Amino acid sequence: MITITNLGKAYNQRIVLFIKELEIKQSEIFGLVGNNGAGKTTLLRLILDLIRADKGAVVSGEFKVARSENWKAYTSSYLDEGFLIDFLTPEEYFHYIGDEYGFSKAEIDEKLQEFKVFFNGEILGQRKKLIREFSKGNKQKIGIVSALITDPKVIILDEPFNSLDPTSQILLKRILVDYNKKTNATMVISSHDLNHITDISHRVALIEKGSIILDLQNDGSALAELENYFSA
Amino acid sequence: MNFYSHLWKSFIRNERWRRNLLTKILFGILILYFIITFLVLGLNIGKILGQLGGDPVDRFNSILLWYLPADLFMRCFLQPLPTIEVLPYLRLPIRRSQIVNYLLGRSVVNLFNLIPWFVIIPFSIQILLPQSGTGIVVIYLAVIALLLLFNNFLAVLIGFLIQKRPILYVIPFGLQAFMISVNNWGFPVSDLSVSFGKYILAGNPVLLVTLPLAILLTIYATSRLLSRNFYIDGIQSKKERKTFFALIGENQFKRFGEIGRYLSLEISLLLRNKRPRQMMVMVPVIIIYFMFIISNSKDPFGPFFNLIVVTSLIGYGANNYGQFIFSWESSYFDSIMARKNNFANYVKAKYYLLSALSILSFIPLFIFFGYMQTIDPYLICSVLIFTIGVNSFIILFFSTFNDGRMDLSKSRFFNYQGIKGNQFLISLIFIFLPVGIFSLFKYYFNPIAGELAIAIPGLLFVTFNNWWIKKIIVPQFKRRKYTNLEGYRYLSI
Repeated sequence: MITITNLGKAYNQRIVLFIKELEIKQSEIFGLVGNNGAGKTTLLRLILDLIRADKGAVVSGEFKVARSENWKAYTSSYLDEGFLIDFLTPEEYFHYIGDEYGFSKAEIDEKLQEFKVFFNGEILGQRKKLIREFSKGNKQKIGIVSALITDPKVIILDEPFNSLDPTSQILLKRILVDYNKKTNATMVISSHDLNHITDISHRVALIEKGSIILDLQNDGSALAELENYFSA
Repeated sequence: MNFYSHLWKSFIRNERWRRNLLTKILFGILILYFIITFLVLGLNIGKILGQLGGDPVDRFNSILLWYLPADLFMRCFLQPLPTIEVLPYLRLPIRRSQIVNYLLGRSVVNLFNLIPWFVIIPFSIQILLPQSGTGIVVIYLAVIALLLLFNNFLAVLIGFLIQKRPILYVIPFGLQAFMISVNNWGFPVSDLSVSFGKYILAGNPVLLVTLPLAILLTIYATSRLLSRNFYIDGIQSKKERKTFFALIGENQFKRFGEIGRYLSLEISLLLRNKRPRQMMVMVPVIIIYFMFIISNSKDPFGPFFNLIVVTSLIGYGANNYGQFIFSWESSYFDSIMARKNNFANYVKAKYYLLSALSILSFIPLFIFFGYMQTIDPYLICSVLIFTIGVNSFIILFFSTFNDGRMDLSKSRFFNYQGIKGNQFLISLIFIFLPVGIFSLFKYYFNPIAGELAIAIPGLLFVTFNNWWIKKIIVPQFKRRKYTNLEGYRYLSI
């Protein structure tokens, strides 16, 4: 679904990312781990064409992301709080995003019902509370859900478990796995939590100093291998 | 002290400063220009005052009471408010008064406190000293210094008050209006000013006592105001939200389809965030102020002046909103680019709002000048058409070069984001392009040709807005996309 070839990005002559070849398959949950500054967010931004690739290209489906914009119709993403329009209420925001992807208000409201438990009664129905007034965890929830309500075929999430409480983390894992089973969507998810990421991913890649140094099929031994790497 | 070294670092390490050499040079030239102008004025002050006739000292003093309110007025808009990102310091063992003192101390370092001395000192040495002797000159200089300092701190206080309630912009405008009214009611300010100068020169120590007291009072009020804002949650006020909330629902513009969706988002942005709201409040304030000035002036201003006023006022809102038209949304621009949307319609929504702002400013001006009859109503209409057509195009085009991040949710209270040099340049184009074209055609042909010369291109640009948005603005933004996105993430304007 997403093919990366010779992808390179440098800042001030310092190479921050170089990936010779990477193919993320259709309906795969692709986990991305790596220490701070390893290049995870850079890779996700390149996949979304938010920064210019100095070398190589990302191809989503049949589209080169830097050339065409057709991939945007089936792709959704949540990287950071900067993706939220924080002067809207959560519902206004969801409706706005839904509208851009051609969903009516009623359709969006119906989809939001599925996330009732995840929202824990704190997000919907607060007609006077703007997104900027929510806590970090709740903002994170709003952002993640906004990426799931547009029936995407490709989902890009940057550290989605961050700032969520334990219950929500566990719920989110189930939500992501269920969505993947139900729709065969391709997901690229980065995380620092090795347990969570190995719980949900079909495949985990370890990124270090801008290149992928481990690419593991998640068949049971991946967690041990990753833990081994990070504790060394 | 640490604050000062941090200030210096934040200045030196500012990304924009590092990247943009041109701004640096332009800024330097501008400062140099002002210093040289005033220095030349100061060195020739004896000659200039001599030519004007009358007692040179009285001549000079007659400006004082005009200058001081004007100085305060300019400071309220141009003097940067001393600010600090306060959050990192709050958890350290630093007393709040230390931070306040730092802020106030820093405010003194600005051009408004420097430039007048290029004139005042030569005046004192060349003219005052031979006449009055050293003692009086020292008192005179001390009083002037105190007056400037008073203005300095008063402007800081007013500036912070305005940050809290944008409507208080009426204070500096009101003061100007008051001065003009006093002048018109039979108390010529120049005469008052001469008497004031005589009073200072009499060597009376009263001012030397009362002025420091007034300064201390202002400082005290400012620090009271500031220390109440030393809480991270203390800056938002709950009241403002409710008033605007009911105004814009989600579906207000639904019937305009996709453009309507972007429009309602844009209007929510303008009304629900402090920074753009401050800007919006200024629009009616400025228009009313100029109406007051024009209707109160004894000598009618020339038609050229009227044209400039009309042009800048019609475009004022559009200009201020348009300069940052993409930057307003910088905090979430990544998500706009990562999502499916129709970028041409997105730009078009912005264009409609630009036009609406111009039309809303046009209506009161049209009525007012229709009543005053100092300018041809057809000319006002032509200017409107030009503004909506050509100027909108220019501003949309140049705004794609603006890659600064704008923090909407924070007020400017502790977070000053200044103005770039090219913003000023665009404002000039905005005004002088239509005025210039009109004047040219009027000079060579007649006023009607001038009106047509601005109305026709305006009309063409309005009619073909679809074309130039799709063929010029959108590709231009796409070209600048990566640079702008990066700027929106890291650079503050």
